[in-house]
Amino acid sequence: MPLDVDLDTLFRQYGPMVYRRALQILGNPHAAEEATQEVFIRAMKAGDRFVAEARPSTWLYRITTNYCLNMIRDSKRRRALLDARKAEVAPTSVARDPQKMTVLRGLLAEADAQQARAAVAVYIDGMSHAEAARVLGVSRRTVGNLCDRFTRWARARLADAPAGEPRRP
Amino acid sequence: MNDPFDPRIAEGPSELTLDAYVTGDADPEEAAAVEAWMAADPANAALVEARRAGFDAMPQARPQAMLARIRQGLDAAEARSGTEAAADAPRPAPRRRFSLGQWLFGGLALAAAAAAVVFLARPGVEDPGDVVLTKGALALEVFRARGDAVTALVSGDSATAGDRLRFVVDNLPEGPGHVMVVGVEAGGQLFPYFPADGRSVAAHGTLRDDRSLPGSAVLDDSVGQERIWLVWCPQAFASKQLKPTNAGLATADAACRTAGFTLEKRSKP
Repeated sequence: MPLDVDLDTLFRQYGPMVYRRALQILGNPHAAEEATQEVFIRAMKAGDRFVAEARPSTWLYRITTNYCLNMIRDSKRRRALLDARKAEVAPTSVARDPQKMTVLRGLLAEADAQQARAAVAVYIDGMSHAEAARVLGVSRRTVGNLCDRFTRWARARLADAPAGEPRRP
Repeated sequence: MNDPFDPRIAEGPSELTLDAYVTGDADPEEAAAVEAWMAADPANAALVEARRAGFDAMPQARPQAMLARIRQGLDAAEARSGTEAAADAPRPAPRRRFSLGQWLFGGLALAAAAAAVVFLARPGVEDPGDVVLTKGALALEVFRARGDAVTALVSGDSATAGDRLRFVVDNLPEGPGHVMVVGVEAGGQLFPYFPADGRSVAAHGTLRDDRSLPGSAVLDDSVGQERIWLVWCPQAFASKQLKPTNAGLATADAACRTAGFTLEKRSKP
């Protein structure tokens, strides 16, 4: 069912948020635009499901994160996105080193999907495990486990990077 | 290299909480936490204010182009789902004045309109067959000049009689092609904005270095919602080959691409 909400109103309110989040994950303004467009098309097509969300920002956060993770996992896009080292990312609450962000993006492209979502929430968005658990719909313990596994795998990946692929957890 | 996997990279609200606060989705407890965090450090408050500024604080973002493509994607999705309906019978197009001059915009000197050409187009409607909108990256940006003030419009913005509109083409497809900008009134009447004679022009060689189409359109005193369409086709075409539908704009060639923009035309206060 089409969404009975004016697109312009929705875009004015949430467009900057979606774009900023996409830019944080992708690090590339053009890719962030593409992601923002697709997220809003999905939101409008979701219709009642979107309207029923108590917090549209949380719903948009989820689909933006998932869409962007899929983008960086797309091997055709990966190289271009990972080469985006000069992205102009708006200031955020998290003091992020651009070099670390580049490393994180590279890891997210290869990590287990569930672990990647938890890593985005905690390491990029600065969520507590409790908040990440609420957003991801899992327990706090699960968030902790996912982050631990991601961290172990990522450290091994970084240590072995030139030599070959580490084993996935 | 430092370990990028600190359990919490920074203290303070998460990105999501900040966004919820700025968009009005935060609950009272979260809002209070954000406000306490803002009060603790002017830099925190400045960060939230920048976030409140939305796209104005993100110069690399192109909200007009994004909105145009979202509309295009929605139109294409509707067309693909089979909701496209045939347009009504041919209607006479409304009168539009199209100035062949240039105008001041973005700090670039574009001289005042040299002449206004009044035209009246009565496009016939041809059956577009099975043609549906083609989704693509083409986008239309619209700028409004009112006196000396020039504003980049977002789809859905308003304009009044006497305002001049300038069109900028974004992401033109590769290869040779032809372009046209048309308007569709709320009642379904289609008329050409550019070129005024309703015949497409070659894109390359027509677009200026800043991707703008030459000239500007001067709005008349009609009111109501209007859809403006940028149309690109690999072959030359005429406005009479375009057909407004419930889902968007049907073209005579499946290879054509369209980008829409909504304009609210209001009476002068």
